[in-house]
Amino acid sequence: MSKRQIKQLFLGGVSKYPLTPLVIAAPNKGRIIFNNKVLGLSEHRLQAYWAQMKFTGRKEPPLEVTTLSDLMDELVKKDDVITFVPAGTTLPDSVKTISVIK
Amino acid sequence: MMDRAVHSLCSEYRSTLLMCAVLIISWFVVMPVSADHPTFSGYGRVVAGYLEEKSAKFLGYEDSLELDEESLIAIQLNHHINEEISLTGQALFHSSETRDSGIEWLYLTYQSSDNLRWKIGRQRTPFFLYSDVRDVGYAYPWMRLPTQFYDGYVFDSMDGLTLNYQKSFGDWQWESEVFLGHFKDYVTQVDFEIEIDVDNIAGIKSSFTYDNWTISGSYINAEIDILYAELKSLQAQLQNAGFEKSANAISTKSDGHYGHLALRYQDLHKFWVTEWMKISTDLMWAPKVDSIYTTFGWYLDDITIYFACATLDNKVRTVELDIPFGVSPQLDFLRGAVQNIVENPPIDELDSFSIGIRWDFTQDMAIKSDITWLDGKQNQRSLFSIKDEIIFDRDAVLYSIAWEWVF
Repeated sequence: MSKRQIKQLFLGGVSKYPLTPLVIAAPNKGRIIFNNKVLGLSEHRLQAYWAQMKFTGRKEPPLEVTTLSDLMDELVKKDDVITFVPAGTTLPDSVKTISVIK
Repeated sequence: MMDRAVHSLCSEYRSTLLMCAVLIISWFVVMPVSADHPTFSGYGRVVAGYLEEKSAKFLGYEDSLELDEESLIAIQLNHHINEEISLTGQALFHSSETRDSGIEWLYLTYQSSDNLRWKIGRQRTPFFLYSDVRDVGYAYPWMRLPTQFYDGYVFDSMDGLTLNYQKSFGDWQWESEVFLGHFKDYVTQVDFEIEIDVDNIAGIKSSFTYDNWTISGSYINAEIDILYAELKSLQAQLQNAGFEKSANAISTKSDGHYGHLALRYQDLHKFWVTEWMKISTDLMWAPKVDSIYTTFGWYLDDITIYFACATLDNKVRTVELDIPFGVSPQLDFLRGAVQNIVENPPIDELDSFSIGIRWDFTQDMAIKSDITWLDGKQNQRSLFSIKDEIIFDRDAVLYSIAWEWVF
């Protein structure tokens, strides 16, 4: 899965990978790094993008959780979820790492 | 005659029936199935403007600070009836006297697969990159969407059906929309309000996205009827008298053809957008409209700075009248009346250059400021509402500041 395909998924696009994106709500340092390096958008630009999508009925933003702990709980509970976590986070065996952002 | 009456009746009530259908279907579907609660969201903007010009107005602004030309607030209700079907309604309250407040969107969405979505009901016509989001100032960097481009077409919403299809090809995303609909309402062109009936709106829009690049194009065809009783009456008199060319010259009905291309680049530090459109009709007022704008901008943390230039080119065709001159005083009067109409249509050629800044000072809120230099053409309207024809040189500067938010 390429970085561009990950970007498409997190911006509400369709993909041949049937994955549901899940993110930690702002403000969050990991989210800022992901937005900048993968989506190529600042948090404010991303909010403006989702305002456009939401008020025109085109796309809906990813599901949000408030903490890393909540995120890990959701990862264990749900199948076919794609998300990002800080490097070094211990992941359950059922989770596969697809990309490392440096 | 009977066919025409039936057609007119159909046009009159089609919109109302469609809106009722959306409400009734959603009522029956919502009641037995829905478990989710409706969600409410919205957006608003307060815009202040000042035009450095005493002898004209632009977008309603003149040489005193105005707050009520573009300020608005909107509330959106969204209700997921089940996993595939949702109901969306949006009520918009404008401060401007030239725009009606009320239900701007009311539609049902049916997501029949991951790739295909149907929308039926009242919705914005998705002509251009930003035409369905023009009221949501928070969503775009400019103070307002380029006026020459986004005010150059006569209708911006419709009652109808939109099919949206998305597919990915590796790193490419393809999105296409086909839409069919109808529009009937009063529209304001500068300081002139008129009722128009646009039937059989049929359009296709397609866009490709690759990484930071998006290219988009659309084509729309529609049957436009300007409901101007006096002009229709004069046209009928000319036809009855056998002056076909003159009657056609002031025709109020025509097919409208809209073509559009757009290219956009956006990364973490900068963006560039350019859009071009062409409208072609047989109407004497606007047989050919060309408009293009381009914008460069830079993102500096919470600050966005942009430069934008836009142009509108309005070609009016030459009309040949077949009413003889010098035969009788009545015919001379009639020829004079028609000549006066066809020789003085409002022409709106206008160039502009803008510099603006946006500050996202907190989450979901931004402040924008913009200076736009307007350069119209002598002896034309150039989208100005002219107070003093002799003094006004068609040049003016518009200063604006806005507070934008979403909730």
